[in-house]
Amino acid sequence: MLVLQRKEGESIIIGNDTRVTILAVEGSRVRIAIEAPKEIPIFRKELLEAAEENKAASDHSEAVPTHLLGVVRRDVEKYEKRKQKYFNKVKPAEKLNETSK
Amino acid sequence: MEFNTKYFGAIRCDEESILQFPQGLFGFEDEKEFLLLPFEGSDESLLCFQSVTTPQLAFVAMNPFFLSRSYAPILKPDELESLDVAQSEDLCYYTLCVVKEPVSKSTVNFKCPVVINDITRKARQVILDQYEMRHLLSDFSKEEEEEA
Repeated sequence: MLVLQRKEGESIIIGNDTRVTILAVEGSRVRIAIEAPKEIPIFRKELLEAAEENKAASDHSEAVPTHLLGVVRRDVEKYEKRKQKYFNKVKPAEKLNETSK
Repeated sequence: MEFNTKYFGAIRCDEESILQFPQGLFGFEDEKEFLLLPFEGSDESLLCFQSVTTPQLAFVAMNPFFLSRSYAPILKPDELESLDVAQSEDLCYYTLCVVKEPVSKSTVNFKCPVVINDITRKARQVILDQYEMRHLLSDFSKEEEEEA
């Protein structure tokens, strides 16, 4: 891995046509400008990781969600009595006359 | 309205039950509408986000505040604004679960909760600066024991 130091306003060039410029350093945040050909995909890493984790969460081919019932804590009463800042008020959708199982 | 679902077959729900996700979910940007459906016998601790347009697409979700008392997500100002609230505490949070066999190996994504404004029914998924994407479910029962 190549590690180098750059100051605000300085750039690095990758290949023939990609330029990365450090625009500003503000505390723990760095503003970066990337100039690259349109066909080169650029993503924030955590966005890709979030998408991958969602894909894994949507595929339950090998496991049955209802098996989780035994694992999930269910002290609803305690939760409702708890005086906490966060509280989920969303009422899940009600299934009206289920037509099939 | 009638909906075809992954886990419950064909069901009927009020149209007002539909949650609007203008940006979709990460990796599922075209899925803009979901129903939040509880699994029977879970007292709403185990639910799923069922896609309205894709019957085979459903995400298992949990109420994170059941799992961990200390969970306290903080959203960025632009995220709060997009959901029309002033503070993180005004929203509702559900975390998605990767179900594994055995189920004790299942993980919950505390870093990327689905966040809902229960008044406007608008929702989105966010990436928090805090927390991890893979918290082992079995670790939460340990946390509970330590508290007791």
